[in-house]
Amino acid sequence: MDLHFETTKNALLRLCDPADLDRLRPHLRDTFLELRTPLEKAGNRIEFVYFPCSGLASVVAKMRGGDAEVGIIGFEGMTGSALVMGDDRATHDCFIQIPGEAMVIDASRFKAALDTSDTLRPLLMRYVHAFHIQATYTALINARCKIEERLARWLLMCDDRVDGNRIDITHEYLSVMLGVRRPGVTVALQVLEGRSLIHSRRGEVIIRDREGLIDLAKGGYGEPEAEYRRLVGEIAVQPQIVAQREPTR
Amino acid sequence: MALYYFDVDDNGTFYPDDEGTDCDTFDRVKEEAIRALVEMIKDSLPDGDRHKLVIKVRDDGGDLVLKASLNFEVEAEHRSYGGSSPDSHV
Repeated sequence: MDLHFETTKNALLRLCDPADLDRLRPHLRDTFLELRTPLEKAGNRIEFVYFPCSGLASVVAKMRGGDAEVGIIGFEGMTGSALVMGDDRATHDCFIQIPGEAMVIDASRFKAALDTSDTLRPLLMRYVHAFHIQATYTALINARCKIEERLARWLLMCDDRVDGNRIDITHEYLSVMLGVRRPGVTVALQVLEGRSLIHSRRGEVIIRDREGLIDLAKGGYGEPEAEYRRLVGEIAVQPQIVAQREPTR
Repeated sequence: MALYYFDVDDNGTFYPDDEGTDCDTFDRVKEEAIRALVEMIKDSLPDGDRHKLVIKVRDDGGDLVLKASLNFEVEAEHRSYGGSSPDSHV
């Protein structure tokens, strides 16, 4: 296993000061995270911090009336934001939505590295702030946008974080991700497919027209991503397959 | 748990559900259909004077088990206001 190569696949580890990476490296392990692997549990102490190299983790807030996704973490980020901010507990559940590789470190080792470095926490705080900005846009969009616009934004955020243009997701989980009822998801997927923006099959969505989805998302996509680039750095660590706009029918 | 399929008819456009949703009770099926109607009509209106949104739920065997619909209708009265009414801001 080439550990150095793996750490460069996560944007935050890649952007770390070399001395900080040396602090973390002895304690980082390479792991593969299967679908629905729990990474954090609401109210519980955070035991591990994950730096995804591929795949996608979802932060999901739960209440009696239903669950809704409040954060997306991929190769551009990390779990355990609370630790960076001085807390040691998870506010929400976090689990794997798209399986993938990650570098993992014990929370105690991670905190020790934060406490002995002058540069690690400032970098990670900028990421946590970008993650917070993502959540504020999710709040705005969930309050003001139509289901199909929310779906377009979510698909774009996934497309940024997965290799290729195929996203494995069931309608049932999409309904949690978007915080809407299942029938609304079924209709929104078919509306997007009717406009040739995606191809939707049982359990998977293929992005066909990224530009068209960006148009549809009406500014919900783009601003938080620009803020991430300003605060942390360029997001394009992995190769992206970006579909060209197809001629409109 | 049993699988139910929520097919949607939105103003005559048919959106079949080919994935199904697990529901443990019939009350859950009913609640899902009603809440979905409310969420979806909120996205569609205003779009004219009439809108009909129907959800038909099939069970795993293909039998229709529930039909829930919303009929939206606007009718203008003869003495409609020209915009200067004191009530127009209400």
